[in-house]
Amino acid sequence: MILKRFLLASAALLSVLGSWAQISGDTTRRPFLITADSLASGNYKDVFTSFFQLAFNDIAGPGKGIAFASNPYAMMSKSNPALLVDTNYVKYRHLRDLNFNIGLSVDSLWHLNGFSAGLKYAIVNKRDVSISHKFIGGNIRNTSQLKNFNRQVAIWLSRNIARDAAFAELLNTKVNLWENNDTFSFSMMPADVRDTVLAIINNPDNGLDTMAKLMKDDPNLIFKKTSDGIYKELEGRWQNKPLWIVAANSSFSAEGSGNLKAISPDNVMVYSEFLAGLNNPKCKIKWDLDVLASYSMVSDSTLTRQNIEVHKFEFRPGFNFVLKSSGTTSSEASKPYLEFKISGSYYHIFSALAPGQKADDNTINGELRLRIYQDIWVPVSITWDPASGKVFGYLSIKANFTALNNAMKKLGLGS
Amino acid sequence: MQANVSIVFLNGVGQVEAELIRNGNSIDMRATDKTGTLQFPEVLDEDIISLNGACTGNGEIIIDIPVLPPSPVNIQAGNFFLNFIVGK
Repeated sequence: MILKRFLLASAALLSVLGSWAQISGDTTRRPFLITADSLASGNYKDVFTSFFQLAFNDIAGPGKGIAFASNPYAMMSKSNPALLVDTNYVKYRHLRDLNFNIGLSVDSLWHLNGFSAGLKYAIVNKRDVSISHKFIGGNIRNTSQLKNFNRQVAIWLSRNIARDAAFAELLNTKVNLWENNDTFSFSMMPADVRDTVLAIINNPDNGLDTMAKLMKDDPNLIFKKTSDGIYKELEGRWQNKPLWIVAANSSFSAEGSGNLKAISPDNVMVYSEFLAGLNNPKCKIKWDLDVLASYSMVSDSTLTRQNIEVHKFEFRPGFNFVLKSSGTTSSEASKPYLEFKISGSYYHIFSALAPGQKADDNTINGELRLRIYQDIWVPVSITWDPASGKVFGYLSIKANFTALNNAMKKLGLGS
Repeated sequence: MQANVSIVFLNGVGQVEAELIRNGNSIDMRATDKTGTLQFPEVLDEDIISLNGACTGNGEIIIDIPVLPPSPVNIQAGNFFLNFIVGK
């Protein structure tokens, strides 16, 4: 049932997105990805998957495919939820740093004609706040004023509960709501509770000067949004930290008829990629360093037999600019909506050269990503070869599970 | 009576500080940065157990004596602040 709903939703989503895929102008095919994280930039998501990722390749073309990526921890915790407890979560962080992917491709008649497999490991992943006690400590330090407010309310309650238990319980209920519900504003409290809370805040002996200023600036303050803003601002800063991965991918083709098919490699690639933020994430234009080095063995199309005889090294340093973010608050600013990536590529071919082919080559590459709906991205990529003057471009669609789930709900298929 | 404040952090790490307050005075303080139980050995009705902390995943706070608001209380990624009135 779940599979059926998923396929229906996928088909519905793909029917909408298919038109974009069809205008892809280049022979280079890029996958339609569904990823799990919504906070990180699209570029970061391409580099590293935290949980599950599903990709539909060449969705409108004759050679269709589906690929699945995950990590051992995600798979293990599905069958053993005890692994989600913090001590295990930290203990098995290296399993979460290991991604694997498998893929199948079929022809227009849905016959298997190839498969792929790959491994990816994060040697350095400083962006993962989920295991960072330093991150938690930073949050607690940054919310010292809010913590003090909560403590002063506790002191007030302990002093007054014997005198008027009913009012103390009402005040505690409303203050807990205010502190932990992001839709509950100060004005939603009863007037007598508001008066008491303001008296606590404005009492000079309580040391709540910053809190008093916050209330003065916004008499309808939503406490929870303030504390969430502090958390997300720090989380955004963590996304500037380095991420360095190494990976190996390979794909194979299956040729022949019936069940007897010959399996041969199409390409093998090992690569390493490094990402790091270069300026304050709160800046309107944020930029990241993105450096990739790869060694690939691909097919020589001039040979009639299957082969991987073209051996190529690529070094591609680049910068990813987040050109626009939604909203003005710190919590919203960390969510990128428009990104532009520019890079230069140096290639060296180690294998025998075709007539007219150069062993060393350079290109300039650009990729524009537009978030069109929540976690659905439209990347448009352009590669320019300065020597030949040729320009190549392609367009594909990327979305994540959140977006897919929302689409399912809109179609009445989600839970 | 003794109050056991159990904290479970899931899908990430967390930290919580708990303080027992009576008649405006701090009676006892406990803290943890992992799943576990904080014990307050001498708790009276109308004491306040004041909690604050943060977590990166989600979790649950369970107090094994009657309190208002009643436990368990679920927590989500972010900062949290809670006061529990004992004996309600």
